[in-house]
Amino acid sequence: MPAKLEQELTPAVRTALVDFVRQLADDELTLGHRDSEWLGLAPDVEEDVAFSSIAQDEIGHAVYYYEILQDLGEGHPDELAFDRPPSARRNALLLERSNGDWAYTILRHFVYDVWDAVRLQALTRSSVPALAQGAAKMLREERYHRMHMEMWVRSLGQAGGEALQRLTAAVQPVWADLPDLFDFGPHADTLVSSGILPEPPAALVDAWAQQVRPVLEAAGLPWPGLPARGAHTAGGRRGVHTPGLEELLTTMGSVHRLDPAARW
Amino acid sequence: MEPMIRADQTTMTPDEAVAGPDRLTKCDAAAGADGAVTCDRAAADELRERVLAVLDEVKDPEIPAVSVRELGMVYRVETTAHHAHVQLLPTFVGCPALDLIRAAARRRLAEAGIRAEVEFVLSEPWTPDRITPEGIEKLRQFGIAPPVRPGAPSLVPPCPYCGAEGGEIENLFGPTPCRAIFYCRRCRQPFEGFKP
Repeated sequence: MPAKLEQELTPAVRTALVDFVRQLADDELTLGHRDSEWLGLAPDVEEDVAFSSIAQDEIGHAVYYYEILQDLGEGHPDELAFDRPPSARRNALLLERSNGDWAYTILRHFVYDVWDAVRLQALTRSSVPALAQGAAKMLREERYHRMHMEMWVRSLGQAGGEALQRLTAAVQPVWADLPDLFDFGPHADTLVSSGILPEPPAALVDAWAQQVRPVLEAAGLPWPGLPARGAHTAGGRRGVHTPGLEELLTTMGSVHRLDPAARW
Repeated sequence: MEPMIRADQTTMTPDEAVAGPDRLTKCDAAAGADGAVTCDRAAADELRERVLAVLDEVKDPEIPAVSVRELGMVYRVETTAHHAHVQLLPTFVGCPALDLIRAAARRRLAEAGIRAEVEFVLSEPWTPDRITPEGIEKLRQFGIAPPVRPGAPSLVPPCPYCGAEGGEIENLFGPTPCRAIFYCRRCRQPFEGFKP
């Protein structure tokens, strides 16, 4: 991306762009790592394959975003992925939570996948070519994650019994993290006015709800409603994270830190 | 480390787009001592054909039956008389084979004595529609069902072994990012297919 573009960016727009690409990258990296933690532990071998494949997609997308940051002079993708402290991370809190049980994992992934799809759909019209091109491609790939998670939400709900109970129990903690997921950080207005994000956040939230609600209802879950919109002062988009992220980063970076200069 | 995928900074003119992405030739526009611009189109065309022939020998390491050209991964080949610029499309952004494919393309072009740059771009999303008829047939022979057409009522392709339709999705995720696992009710066994 683009030396060419960079010359056209005002400092305020550049700051907003860097912050936003960090959000996109860190969301994908963090969830991708959580997905990988299911390897060998998922309910059956098909899910081992599915979650490994999904993890690979998410981390591949993260790399694409980190390379955009690299082009913007923000450092090497490996450093961006492994060496930044939690305070420099911009992922949503929802994605750093430990995996919990299968129902929480599925519901979290489903609500994120719909959010990611809505966000990517908007980004296909981004003023930043690298984001627009990447979004068009990633949207096609994320579609399968979402189909898979939607199938699971319906199956767990329609199975009734303990599966429905656990799915129901997952709603509250997932919903508590939604305002943070929907936050675009301190530069949201600049993102929209510059066309980097060519859609106001509120419209994205509405589109998200329209797609999530019917699936929850088909699973036998009452629609919990949208969280109240409030002002954000903390949270993932502003670098205020939970101990879960610290733990994740320690694990994820343990091999990298053995020999940061190693070539793989 | 160089980026795996580059944002495309060049813009295609409508004429180029009509001509077809992997059919482009750019002439040398070097000004001679007398100021005249020379353009050796014949030599550039010939080099382009050689590049395409080399790319026919570059395989996806995870699907060695088909070349990257047959998979529709070659987006654009621009040549002058002495130099080629090859743009490839990733099937999936996070595909771990991209690095190997790019390295293999560079190595084979170098072995053929061709000076070339090879890079991945996202100028347009790769879709299974880009797989050539030869590629589809080779995939089928390899035991991988080609993808269903866009807008098809079912995501499940016909069984590559017996041709039966009406199979099931066993797993949307398979051994590589671009493949899924289906189940043939007639053969009573799973088969692999390209994700639609």
